[in-house]
Amino acid sequence: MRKVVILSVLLTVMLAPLVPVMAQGGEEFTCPNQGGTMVVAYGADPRTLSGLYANDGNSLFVVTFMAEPLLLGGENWGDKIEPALAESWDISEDGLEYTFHLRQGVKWHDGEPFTAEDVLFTYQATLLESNAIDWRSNLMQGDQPMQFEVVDDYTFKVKLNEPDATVLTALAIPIVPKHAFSGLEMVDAPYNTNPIATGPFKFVEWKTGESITLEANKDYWRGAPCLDRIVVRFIEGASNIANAILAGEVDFARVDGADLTPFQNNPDFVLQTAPRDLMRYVGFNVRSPIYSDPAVRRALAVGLDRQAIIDIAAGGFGTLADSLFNKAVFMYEEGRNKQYPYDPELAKQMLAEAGWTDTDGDGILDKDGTPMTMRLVYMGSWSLMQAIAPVVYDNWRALGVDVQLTPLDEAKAYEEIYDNVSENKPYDAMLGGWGLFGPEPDHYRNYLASPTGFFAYNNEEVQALFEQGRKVTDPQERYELYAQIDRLLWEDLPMIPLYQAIGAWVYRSDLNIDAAELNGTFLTGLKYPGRVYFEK
Amino acid sequence: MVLMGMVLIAIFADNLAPYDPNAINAAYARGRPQPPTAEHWFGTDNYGRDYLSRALMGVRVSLFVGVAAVLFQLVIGVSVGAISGYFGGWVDNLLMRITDVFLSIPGFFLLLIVSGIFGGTLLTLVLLIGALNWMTVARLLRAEFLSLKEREFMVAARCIGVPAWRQVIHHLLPNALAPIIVAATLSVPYAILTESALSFLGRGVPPPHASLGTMLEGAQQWLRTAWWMWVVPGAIISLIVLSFNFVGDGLRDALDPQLHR
Repeated sequence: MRKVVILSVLLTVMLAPLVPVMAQGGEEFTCPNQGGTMVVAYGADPRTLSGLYANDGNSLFVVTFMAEPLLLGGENWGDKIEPALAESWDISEDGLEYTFHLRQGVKWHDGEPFTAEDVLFTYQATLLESNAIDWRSNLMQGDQPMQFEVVDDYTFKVKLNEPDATVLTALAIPIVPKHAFSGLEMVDAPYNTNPIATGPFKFVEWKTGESITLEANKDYWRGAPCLDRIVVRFIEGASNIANAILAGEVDFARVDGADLTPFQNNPDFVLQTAPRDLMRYVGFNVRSPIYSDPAVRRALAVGLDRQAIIDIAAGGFGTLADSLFNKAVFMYEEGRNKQYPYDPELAKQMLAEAGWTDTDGDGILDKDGTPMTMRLVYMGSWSLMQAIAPVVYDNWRALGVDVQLTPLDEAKAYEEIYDNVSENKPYDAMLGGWGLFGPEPDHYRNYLASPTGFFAYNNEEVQALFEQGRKVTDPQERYELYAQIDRLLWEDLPMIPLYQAIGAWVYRSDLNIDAAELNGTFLTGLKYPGRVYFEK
Repeated sequence: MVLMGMVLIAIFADNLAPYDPNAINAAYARGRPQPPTAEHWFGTDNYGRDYLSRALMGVRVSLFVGVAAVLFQLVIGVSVGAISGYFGGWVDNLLMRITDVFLSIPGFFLLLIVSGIFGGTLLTLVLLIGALNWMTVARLLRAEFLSLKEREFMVAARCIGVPAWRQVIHHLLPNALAPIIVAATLSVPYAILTESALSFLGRGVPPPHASLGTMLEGAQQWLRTAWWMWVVPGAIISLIVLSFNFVGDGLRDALDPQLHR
């Protein structure tokens, strides 16, 4: 009896230290096998490797392996707010002061220690207007910036002018090292093509047009990665990536949109699906004379077979959208909005009620002598958009809209759509996809409540509600507010949300990603890429 | 005969096609190309679009691009060759050096690059293909002119004071036409193949037009599972190219019997 008691006490004492570790979500992880190079595939060359400038798929994919913010859950960093470079934070009673306790012992990829000075530098550089960093508006409250203070090496304070419910996700942008820059100016910094960060993998080399090589960061604070290297190969188009996997040239990649039959019931590969925080949509230029009428936009939504788009362009990997917000937002509620059915006859009727009929018998609708033309633009090199376009073309042509498909090459697409900050858009409609906004609906503000956004959408009621949403801190009140925005936008439809993507990932069966956690809300598909290993 | 058939198809494609080549039948296809059946002789593509209709439309587009490009090519080539051959001297030298420059450019790669910048419509595609393939015609015509210029009837024409332009158009050109016709006929398949290659690489005919090349491009991801997607456009391209080659050979035999016996 005494032996059993002593044994149990001993066991408890020995196991007790593991409890807080396991409660942290398994931060201690030992690699069953060390070594190997994993080859992954993604579209094309990144535009930048700096965590502060990366906001397009190609750049973000690579940056997600390398950079880290203070906490996860911000834009591009998953759908849950969790500690990362900041271990914990305190919020003052009046909601005006946030104190972040930074993780100690973290090293940059070049060995220098990570401290609060780097955090301060990052935010100061982001606030600098000449740097043209997209996240600048995250750190502004109206036209007043937030105040930042370094208390000591591992304590960082953020002071607000007024309470802001979106602060945590707004601050969750990648941190860059102060010592890697000669000053606050970073537009042309060499850092953008040769980055230093704190994440599990560090940059080694970039072969333009071909691939980028990353190497394991042995000092990574979550534990050294199991793999030695990751190579990101640039391959455009899901079917090309699928073929590369079958040929043994790529080990792990997302392949939804390609023909997946070779992978099903194939012992050499594992096929897994996970929902992604990505929406595909058809957006309107709300200022264009024809498409400024919400009744027309609603009619076009009813005249578009969105399920066909899912089946054909996404190979069935999508859920029909019923909100302009992605499902990851905290106030998403299934069934809040009544779904627009696919009914071409009803659509024609709705268009007729809005004044559009074919008076001259040429097959194109017209109103007061103006034919219903539509200049539909999209990025021609994005194979997904190429796959969606014919369905939109056919469905709306059948209604009588003279759709002119206009694929743009990358430079032109950025000029007309993505970098276009004027209120006058050169298109009537555009095809696009976006996401990775995370749980915070305020991240959609620049698109759904901005006259300079893609849709030139200037709805004052929606804008006022978005403004309010930042200030209100009571969670229930915020929920109601954003639910109201959701309903209004679904009615007004500045863009028709098509579907929310489901990702299908394929990888070789001797690769183990269980501990790495397949997570579709991260662009790479992996929440902890350092925990991928090859089974021997 | 086959060629005549193809041309007729090209002209009447709209009437012959049983379905609208762009009509999507999502319910029928559900994202996968469907095999040939009684209703769809050539099956459908993954959008449910009838492949026979798309093939007919493709014949029209590809033939149009091929023939138009060659016509444009002839305009440039004949002009350059005629001027060069007739005037001789420094004009000839200059034009031939220009021709040499164009000949040294790897045409297809230039087309790839330029179509990325200027491409986007059928017209620009035609102009581009034509603008990079006129050199052979120019040289041929110049050679013909040079040899014809010294024949007795031309010497006579010059003696009685026939103006230059009349000499060229009424006397030289008609006699020089034979090799040009042959060259043109043999250039059409080259133009069609160029257009197909460009479309296959995504740089040719803009959507939603169907051309034989774009059909081949779409067939890539279904190579293993839907053979009709590539067999149909591939076979048609081969048929067109073969027909043009046979016709061209036949023409050459008919028009220049002395040279090729």
